[in-house]
Amino acid sequence: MNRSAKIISLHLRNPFLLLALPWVIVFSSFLINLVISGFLDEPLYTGGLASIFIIIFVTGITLVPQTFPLALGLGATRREYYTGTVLTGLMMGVFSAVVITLLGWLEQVSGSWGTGLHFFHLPYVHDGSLLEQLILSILLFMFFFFCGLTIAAIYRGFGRASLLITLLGALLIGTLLSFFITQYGWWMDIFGWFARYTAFELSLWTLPLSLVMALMCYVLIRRSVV
Amino acid sequence: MTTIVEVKGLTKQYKDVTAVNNVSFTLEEHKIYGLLGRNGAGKTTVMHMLTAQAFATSGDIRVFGEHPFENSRVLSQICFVKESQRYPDVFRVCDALAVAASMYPQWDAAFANDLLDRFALPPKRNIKKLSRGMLSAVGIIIGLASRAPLTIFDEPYLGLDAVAREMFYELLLEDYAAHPRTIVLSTHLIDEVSRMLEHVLVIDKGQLIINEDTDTLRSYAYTLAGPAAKVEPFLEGRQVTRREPLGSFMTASVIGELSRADREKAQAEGLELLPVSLQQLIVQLTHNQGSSKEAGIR
Repeated sequence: MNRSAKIISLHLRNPFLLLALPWVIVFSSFLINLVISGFLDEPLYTGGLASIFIIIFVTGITLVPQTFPLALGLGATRREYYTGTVLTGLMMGVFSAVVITLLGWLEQVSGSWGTGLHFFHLPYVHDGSLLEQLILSILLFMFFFFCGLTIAAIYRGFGRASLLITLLGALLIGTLLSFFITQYGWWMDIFGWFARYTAFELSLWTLPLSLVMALMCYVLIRRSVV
Repeated sequence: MTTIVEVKGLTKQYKDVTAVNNVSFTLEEHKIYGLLGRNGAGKTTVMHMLTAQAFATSGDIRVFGEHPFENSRVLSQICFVKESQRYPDVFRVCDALAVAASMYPQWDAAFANDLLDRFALPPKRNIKKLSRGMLSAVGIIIGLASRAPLTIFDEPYLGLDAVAREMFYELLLEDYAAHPRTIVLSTHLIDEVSRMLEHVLVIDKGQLIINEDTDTLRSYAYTLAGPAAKVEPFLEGRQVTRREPLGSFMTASVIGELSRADREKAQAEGLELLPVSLQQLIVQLTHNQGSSKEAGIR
């Protein structure tokens, strides 16, 4: 077995945490919304699906501190660890995207579960073909995964203080940007730009961002110590 | 003898501390080494750099002829069991062993199961819920069952009682005899392990002060006991590390080899000559670093 594959099995030693827990949370949200929608006369649109992306973001943050020391302690190289970890994320992403797309399809053919609940198939977001929906879910998933992984990698590579400075810096840049956008009245132009594209086209824009983060994570993990 | 580890001028500099200072040594195949020294002397840092878990500030490291950094050919042949090893929160004992089994080509699963029984470890117990001694046993099992050509134990028995420690030493020697490999034991329970060690490396304040075969080292020092009036003249001109007067009686530790004439003279004077244990010798040397340098032991 390839040694990166061994890192995947290290992550999946407890499959409940990575493969089942996210869906326990998503399905709890789904069931609650389903019951509520049964009492409503009008259709119910909910963003409960967002929970899966929050979960993967948190997973990206927690995976490294949990498993990196053991992987290195047992003689894995940093490259093997990184490759195995990213592949684990990708597997989770593809698995989740397939489930979301299938359930979205089921939602449509079942007439919104018979109660008017729109949970897995949302207007605008899931307007494209099934393949486009699948790719969109995978790309969003990986984007949030790498966001989490980047935070973990900065913490590993530079320590707590540097992570705080980075996050504060990001907050400051965001605040300044939104201030200038408001100042110069650019918001409408920005919304207009977004509105010109479909959700699928927009999701393609996460690809370069994810790749930059992936590269950054690799560089940081390569110089991390236990 | 094949050299499997070669370290030259290894230095690790933190902001204002030199944890390891210009250390050079070699390790040979199929030998048991003791890496000894006080807490904070730099032992763990050396082992971390040897396994590429930490980066050296300067110096060169060759393990099995290659640099260990990002080198799975080398790293899959080293098992480094450390006291501070962390495991994922959800891991049970059996999970840790399964992952270790997948990482080491020479892993012996039957041996690992046998060791689980001997150390009475519950395989389904969460590692977080183990006692300190049981946690140490997990590391010991991984180290022994890995059968890695270079196996390093860093303080492997914190919290283990004397019976379990004795069992560890016996198992180690037994398995080493059946499957020879290079073993490095880092510890401060020197007396307990001294009979196993073939070669001793002592690190003090980041510097390698002793690099010697255990047998040679034993003849480096002796203890002299007798009436103070007769002991004192004998000590003149010798490297004395410890003087313990007790009334008119005196015990003194001396470094340096004893000639036949010295031996006869001591006997004629009615002085008692005693060997110094490895632990005592090292305590004396690291307690007072200056004297060890003068003694020229390197």
